[in-house]
Amino acid sequence: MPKLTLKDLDKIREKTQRTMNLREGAGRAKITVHMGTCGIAAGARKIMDTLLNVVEEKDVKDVILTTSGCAGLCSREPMATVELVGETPVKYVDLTEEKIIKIFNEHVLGGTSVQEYALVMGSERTQ
Amino acid sequence: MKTYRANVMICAGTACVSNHSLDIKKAFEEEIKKRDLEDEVQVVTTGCNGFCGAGPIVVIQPDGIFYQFLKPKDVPYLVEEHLLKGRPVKKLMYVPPEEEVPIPKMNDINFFSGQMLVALRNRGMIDPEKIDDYIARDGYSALVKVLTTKTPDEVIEEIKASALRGRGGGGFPAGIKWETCKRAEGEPKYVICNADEGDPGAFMDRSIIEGDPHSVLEGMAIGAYAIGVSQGYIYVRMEYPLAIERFKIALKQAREYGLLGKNILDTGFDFDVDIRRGAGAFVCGESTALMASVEGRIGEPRAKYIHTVEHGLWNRPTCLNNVETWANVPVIILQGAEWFTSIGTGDVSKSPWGGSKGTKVFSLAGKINNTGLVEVPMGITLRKLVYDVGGGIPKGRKFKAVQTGGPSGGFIPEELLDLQVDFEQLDAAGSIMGSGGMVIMDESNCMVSMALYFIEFLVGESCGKCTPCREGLRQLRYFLKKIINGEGTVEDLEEIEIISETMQKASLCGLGKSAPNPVLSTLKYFRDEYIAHIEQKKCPAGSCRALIKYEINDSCIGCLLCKKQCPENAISGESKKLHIIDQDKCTNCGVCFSVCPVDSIDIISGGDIVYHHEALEVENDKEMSV
Amino acid sequence: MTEVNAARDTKPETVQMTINGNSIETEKGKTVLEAARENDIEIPTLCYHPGLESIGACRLCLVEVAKSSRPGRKRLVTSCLFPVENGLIVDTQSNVVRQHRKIVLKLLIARVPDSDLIRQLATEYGVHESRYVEREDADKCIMCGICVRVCDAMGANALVTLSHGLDKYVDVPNKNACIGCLACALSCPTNAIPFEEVGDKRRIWGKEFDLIRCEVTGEPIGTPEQIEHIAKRSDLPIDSFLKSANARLKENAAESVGVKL
Repeated sequence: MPKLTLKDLDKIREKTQRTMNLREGAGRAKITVHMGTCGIAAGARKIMDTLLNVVEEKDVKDVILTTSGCAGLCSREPMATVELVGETPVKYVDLTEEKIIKIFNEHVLGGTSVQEYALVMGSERTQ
Repeated sequence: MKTYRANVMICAGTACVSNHSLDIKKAFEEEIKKRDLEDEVQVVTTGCNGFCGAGPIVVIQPDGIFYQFLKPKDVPYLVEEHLLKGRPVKKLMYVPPEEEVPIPKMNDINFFSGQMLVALRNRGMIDPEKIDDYIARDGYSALVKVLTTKTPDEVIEEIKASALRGRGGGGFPAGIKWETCKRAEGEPKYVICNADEGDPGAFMDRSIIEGDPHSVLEGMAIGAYAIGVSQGYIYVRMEYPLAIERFKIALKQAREYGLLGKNILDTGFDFDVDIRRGAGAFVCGESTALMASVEGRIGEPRAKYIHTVEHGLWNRPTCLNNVETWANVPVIILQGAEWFTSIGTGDVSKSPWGGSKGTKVFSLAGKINNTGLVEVPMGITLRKLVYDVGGGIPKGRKFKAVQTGGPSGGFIPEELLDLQVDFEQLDAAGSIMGSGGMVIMDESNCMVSMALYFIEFLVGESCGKCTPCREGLRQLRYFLKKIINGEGTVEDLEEIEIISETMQKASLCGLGKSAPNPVLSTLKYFRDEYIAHIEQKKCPAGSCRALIKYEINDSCIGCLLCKKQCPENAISGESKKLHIIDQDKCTNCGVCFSVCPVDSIDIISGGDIVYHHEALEVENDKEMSV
Repeated sequence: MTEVNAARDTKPETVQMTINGNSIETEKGKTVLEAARENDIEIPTLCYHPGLESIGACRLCLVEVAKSSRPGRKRLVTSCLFPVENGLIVDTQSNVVRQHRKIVLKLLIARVPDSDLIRQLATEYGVHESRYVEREDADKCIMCGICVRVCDAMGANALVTLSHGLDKYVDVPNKNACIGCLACALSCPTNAIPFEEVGDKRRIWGKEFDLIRCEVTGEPIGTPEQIEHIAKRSDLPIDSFLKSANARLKENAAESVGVKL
């Protein structure tokens, strides 16, 4: 293994930043994909996979992806809640892979919620 | 870099590992594979989580959910419910004592929320066997900062300004030590990390090494640069094989990256570290004995009229610091001395001796609900440490004393619980900070026995070179045993005090000088217990075998359990009838007392009942007969 | 540079200090004990030996010292190791010193109840009765370490301390290393090391040696191993050692007045 330069140290730091943010639960945005038996049956895992792919593709480091149990609205699943730090959480329903990508780009990266896919504003605040 | 959405942080400190946490790791890996979660969930082993009494421990990030007392058989359910379905598992969570509702998040649990992590900054966040994890959390940034932007003298000034005081027990200002070593004549100079951690029950240093070995290496490298050293030694007690292993891995990785060795990061600075193992001697935690041991001589101390910073290892200037002290150095460099001095007590603007700055790692043990390792700011009150962070005394018992500083320390009684934990206040109370051991006692601990316990420990560890320590310990042991066996006299107390004073003033090294501390401390705050042992032949705690007897009271349910367990067949009684102990046969072993399911055995001492458990309810239709 | 100037330059630095109120001048590099003894000021010792490195083990030579800049700040130190310095104020007989000396001796009596020397010293320094427990099966060893150090100085390196703490003891683990020179036994302050000389045999440390006696006076000279060892170290022929010191003195004296014995 070649000896590191100062630049190499910075690169390592950058590369592992996403992991460290995850371990600290630190990020400027959190996306909770609702699982539970109903969620999984409705295809929530694919939504999660899509998110993982797009995070990796776009090399996004400061977004937390996590899961929670059933939110109680089983008929509208797959569902995901997007929470930007300092803003009210937005619950998105009837998700598909295309929808979640759009939500990621416009809400999480862009900062504007996608009203047409949303259910209610601020019904559940996650810490 | 793989993108995961969850990390399973499995505690792999010595305690959890010996409790099969690596089997739990395997179980997680298998189940995650089975559930097709391999691309989403990463399994990581970390160093000690700190809440050792609740191990094996797993924390799931980013949710921050804390799981305790895990067994491999719990894992499949946990994976399915929490990782797959997003439903954290309540029955595996932490529940505060006397309560029913679990607290899911680690940061909401008092044990954790009361802490402030500096030396333990990477706790639970990194795999100690992966240098990249350390680098990711600003690891080696301080070394880079120092090598590229600071002169050695500037580094010393920063450490001096921080007023960092030695964390091994001496509390000597590190900056002054570094400066004196730098100015001393003689080449080559050395830095040493004292990882001999000998106090019984102390594992602060072990956890730092096992969980974050690079923090120590980086600290030593910064010190070496400041003082002008190219060779460092780490002296680890041989009873810490996992710590030694983690250091070896860390050294290998650091050398591979060129962060240790020749011409570090192309700055022309050379520094490398060798590990030396101890061989089972408590006294080798003393700096001159440690250095003798590294040199291959017998580990015995020498007089310190000539300091080791001037003449240490192979007679050269040597700077020895404790593990925790070194671990603090990188943070001070990155965050600054001013930040460090904003934490803690006192005023260090004129002298570092004026206060205790920063944080301290303590091991909480004994009669406390939350046993484990904590890091708190200097100045926290003992009350907060024992009751908030420590969770108070189990079984609803009453706090009696907290022993601090290991065998060199003393006992703090209840009336002093509001004192702030810092070097000066602990000294003033007749104890010491020491390396950070805190053993909590309740009313069932006999303070005379506790004093004898520490004396016996030191009898086994004294090197035997000097008269006051070697012979003084012999006599202290003799007089304390006399008292515990009910043969003590009041004159014995005077003898103890006189011998103690000579040991404190005339012993060659710190072991002998501080050996009487537990005895003198208990005499100061619990003299009445000594008097009870002497005048009434009574052990108020119900602990000294020669002075107690066990009696079964009428809450007995006649279950036959004690009768079956008694090794002397001293208990008689039939099923559902009151049992009786034959005092002539009884040897006071205490087995009956510990197995009785309804706690119906009293302890009598000096003619008084010193232990009696009030039965909560007595069934009406039970008729007891003898 | 003249010889006088050269001699002046190499004169050791002097140090001014006080011991028990007396002004003392001595040389830098000496210990407080040496400075005291130079000036006939008594400090009792047990583990000190002028020919050996001091170790500060017995703690009998304790004195109180203070710097003249801070006379109130006293320290209790072992004078055999404490280096002299300018302005040092030494007290060898303060109450504090006497008290600790007394307890050290009291502790030693309990360790070696059969030692006359220790008892005598203890009485001298104020110990009369004691309620301390006596060591069981006690020999007379006070762990001063002189025997080990003198054996090292002899070059035999046969004696070591084994174990530690209360169980510490002195022994010769490798009998081959012992040359039977008796340096240990003769240096021991409490005569704790037994040895026997009967006829042409000497026994010590469980080893039996031949004993070479002086061909003139019959006094014991030493063991063959001892004589060979010393001859090698001193680079002198062996037969220069076969006469005792007394015999050689007599010879030299006779020779100096022209008489051949």
